[in-house]
Amino acid sequence: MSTTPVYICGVGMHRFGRFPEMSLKQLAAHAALEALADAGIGIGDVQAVFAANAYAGLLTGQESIRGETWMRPLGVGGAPVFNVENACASGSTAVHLATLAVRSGAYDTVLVVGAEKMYVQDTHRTLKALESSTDLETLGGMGIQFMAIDALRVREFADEEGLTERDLAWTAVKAHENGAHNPMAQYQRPVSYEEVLGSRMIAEPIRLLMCSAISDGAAAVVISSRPRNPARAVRIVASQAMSSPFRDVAATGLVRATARRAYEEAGVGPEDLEIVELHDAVSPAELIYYRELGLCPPGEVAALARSGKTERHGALPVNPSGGLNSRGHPVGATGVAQLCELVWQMRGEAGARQVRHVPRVGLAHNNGGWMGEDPAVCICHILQR
Amino acid sequence: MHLPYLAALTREALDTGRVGGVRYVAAEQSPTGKAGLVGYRCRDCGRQTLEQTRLCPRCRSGAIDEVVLGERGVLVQATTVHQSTAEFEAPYIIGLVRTAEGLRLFAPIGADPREGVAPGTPLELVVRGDGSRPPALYVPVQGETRA
Repeated sequence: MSTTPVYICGVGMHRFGRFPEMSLKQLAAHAALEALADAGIGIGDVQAVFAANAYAGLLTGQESIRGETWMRPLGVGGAPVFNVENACASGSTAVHLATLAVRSGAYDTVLVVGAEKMYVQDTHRTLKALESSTDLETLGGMGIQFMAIDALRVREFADEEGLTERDLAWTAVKAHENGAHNPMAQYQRPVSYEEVLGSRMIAEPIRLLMCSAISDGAAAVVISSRPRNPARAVRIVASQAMSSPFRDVAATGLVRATARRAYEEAGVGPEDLEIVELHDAVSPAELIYYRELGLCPPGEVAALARSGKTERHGALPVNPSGGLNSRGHPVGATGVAQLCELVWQMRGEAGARQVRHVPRVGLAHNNGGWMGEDPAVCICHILQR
Repeated sequence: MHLPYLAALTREALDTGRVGGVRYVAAEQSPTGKAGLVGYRCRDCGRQTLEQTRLCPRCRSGAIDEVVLGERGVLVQATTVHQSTAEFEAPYIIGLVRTAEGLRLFAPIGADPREGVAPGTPLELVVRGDGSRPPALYVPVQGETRA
C-alpha cells in the first residue's frame, strides 16, 4: 500500500437542523466553501470532488448527478465529481475513496462534501426512505424501522452487559450536554434524566430523546497530500471500510472487524485513542460500540460508562460534538461531520466544547444501513496530529 | 426438510406473500404441511439462509436448493414499536426470532402490544390469509411456555 501521507487540511459545516428555506445545493455549497477557506485554497485548486448523499433521489427526486448539481454553480470547472451513496455511512465512504484517490497519487487535493435534506413535510416519506437502507427483499414492508432494530440490539446488549435504564438514559444526557456547547448541533440544550425517561416511547426501550433526529445539513473536508498550511493539517493514518459479513462465516462482527483493521493500519490500539466520534444513531448504541471498538473489554461497558471517562472532560471523550443524537443526523453529512469534529478538537479549535487535553489521536466510526446481524457498511478512520 | 422440488411449484403458489420481504408459503401450499419461510440451502455443506442466493457464502458451492424453513422458532428479543409508519399503525411488536434451524430474522410478532412477549417464548409462523396486515407473522405457540 502506498505510504504517501494524506491529510485533512480544511473542514467546514452547515449547522445541522431544520432548514426548510434552504435547498440541498445551498447547504452543500455552504459547507464546501467553509472547508476551502479553512484549507486556504480556492475551488480552482480542487482536482476532484466526492459528493455524499443517501436519499435525495427518494426525497427530492434528484436521483442522478447530485454532486454535479451542487458543484457546478461553485465553478468547480472540469474537475470530476463522484457521487457516493452508502446509506448513513455515505459521508465516510466518500472520505475513504477520496483518501485512496490522493494516496494513489492521481490527485493532490480533493474535496469531500456530504449533504442531506430530510425534512420534506412528510415524516412517513422520510421513514420510508430510511427503510431502503435495508435489504427490502428480507426486511421490507413489515414496519421494521431502524429504531426497532436498534431497540432489539440495545435490549440484547443491555442484558449481556448488565446495563440499567439509567445507563441508557445517560447516553442521551451526555450527548445533549456536549451538543449544548456545539454551534453546529441541531439540539443545543441540555436534557435531564427525567426529561429523557419521560419522553415519548418510540420502540421499547428507546425513547424520543435517545433518537437521532431527522435533519438537514452538510459537512465538507479538503483532503490533500500537499497541505497549504501543514501546521493545521491532521493526518489520516487509517481509512478502513467493510461490508456486512455472514456471522457464521466471519470470525467477528462488522464493527469489531473494521476497527481492528483500522488499528492495524494506524499502528495504534484503542488504548492510544484520545478522542472518539462514534455512530450513536440511537444514543444507547454508544455503549455497544464501546465494546465493539475495543474501548473496554466485554463485561466492563457499564463500568466504563459510569466512570465518566468518556464524558467531555474525561480521559477519553466520546462524541464531544453531541454525536448523532444531539448534533443531528443528516445521513449523507454525518460521516464527514465526525471528521470535522475530530479536526477541530485536534487543532484545539473546538471553542466551548473543546476537550481538556488537545487530542493527538482520534477515531471516527460510521455505520450505514442494516443487513443480517450487522450494519450493511462500517467505516473507521483514525487521525493523528 | 429438504425440498428441492419446491422450486418446481408454480410462482403463484410460492409468491403467496412475504413476511417483510421474505417469501412465505401457507400451510396448505407447503410440502411440510406447515406455514414456513422460503429459504435456501447448500446441498454440499447444508448452510441455510433466507437471502436469495446462487452461491453458498460458506463453501462457495453453487448447488443451492430452495427449501421451506422457519415454521417454528423462539423469540430472542422483542420491542413494542410506538411510532406508526405509513403502512402500520402503532403499537405493534417486532421481534428478533431464532428459527429452529438457527437462523435469526426480524419479524412481526402477533401478540398484545400492551403485554409484550417474553424472550424464550416458542413461536410458530402463521399465515393469516384474510387480508389483514401483516399477512404473515410469528405467534406464541399455544400451550407452550418458555423454552
